[in-house]
Amino acid sequence: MSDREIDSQLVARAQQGDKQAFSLLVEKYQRKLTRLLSRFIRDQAEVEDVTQEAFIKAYRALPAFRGDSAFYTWLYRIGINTAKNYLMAMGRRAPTSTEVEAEDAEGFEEGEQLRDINTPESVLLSNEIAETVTSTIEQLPDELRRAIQMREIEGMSYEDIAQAMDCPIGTVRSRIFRAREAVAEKLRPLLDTRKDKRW
Amino acid sequence: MKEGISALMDGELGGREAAEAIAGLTNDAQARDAWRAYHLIGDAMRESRSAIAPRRPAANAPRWRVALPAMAIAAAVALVSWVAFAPVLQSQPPQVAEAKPAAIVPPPRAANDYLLAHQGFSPRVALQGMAIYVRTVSDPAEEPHR
Repeated sequence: MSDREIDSQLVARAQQGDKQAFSLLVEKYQRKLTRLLSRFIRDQAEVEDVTQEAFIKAYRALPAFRGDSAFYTWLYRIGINTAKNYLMAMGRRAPTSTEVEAEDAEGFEEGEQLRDINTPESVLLSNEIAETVTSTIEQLPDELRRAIQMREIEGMSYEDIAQAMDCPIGTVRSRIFRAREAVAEKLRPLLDTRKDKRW
Repeated sequence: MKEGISALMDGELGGREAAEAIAGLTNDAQARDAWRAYHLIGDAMRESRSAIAPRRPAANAPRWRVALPAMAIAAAVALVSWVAFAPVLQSQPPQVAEAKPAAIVPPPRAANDYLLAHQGFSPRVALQGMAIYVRTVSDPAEEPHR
């Protein structure tokens, strides 16, 4: 199942009222969206606010999402539009984006604040988390490190990694999972701390 | 379950397995924690990589936007060099290179429609204004006799 198909399934669940499904999409794309908006907004706290606002807009507009584009494409447009509106409201120059306007996502209704989406206090990676990930990856056994690097950084498929490492696809799947679990184990204390933080 | 989540996020699960993994995600807190942690790990690895690698221009940045800063720098260097060496150069007679006429290769007729439709997207339009448009539209073979 492709990335787009996974997103479609999560969107369908969210449209049926499954807020967990939408939270999973938030977890998947929040940092990517934050990096995008950081190109236009310098202040990091403002970037986080605008990112959160974009996700809230996306949640409200979800019933109108038809799946004509990929979910992230749609979210991307909402993010750009939210950033533009924010900058114009602040009296700053809005980015001259060549992207299509988020016209199809503008049909959301104003309503009460969405309170129970589980967005963390800061969507940005703290230095501590980034350093933990980097140092743990470096300490992994060679075959695990290579596998996860080929997957996460080079974007290679399991089949290509299997060819590169001269091993079965099942072995690749196992190595990547074990690498992720090794890093996740080191991250868990940090993530549990962040989860407890609230506004 | 977690190994399934790991493969799911890589798009490496088949339809039925993927559907089961997604159902597990929404029902199982440990599965959601794994999803969250694994995505965080991937993002951290990519961000660390981009922090080290030299910044590349955005993929959709028009080439002229990328080239202009470099051209400005090159122009500044050229100006400084000229100012620094001007007294030496003045003793020599200026040499003007003979400009050879550029070879004119008429585009295939069918290309004109394509170029006309897409000329707005060409980065050269920003530099040459209407020149490309005029050249694209003008086809001597099709011009009416006056």
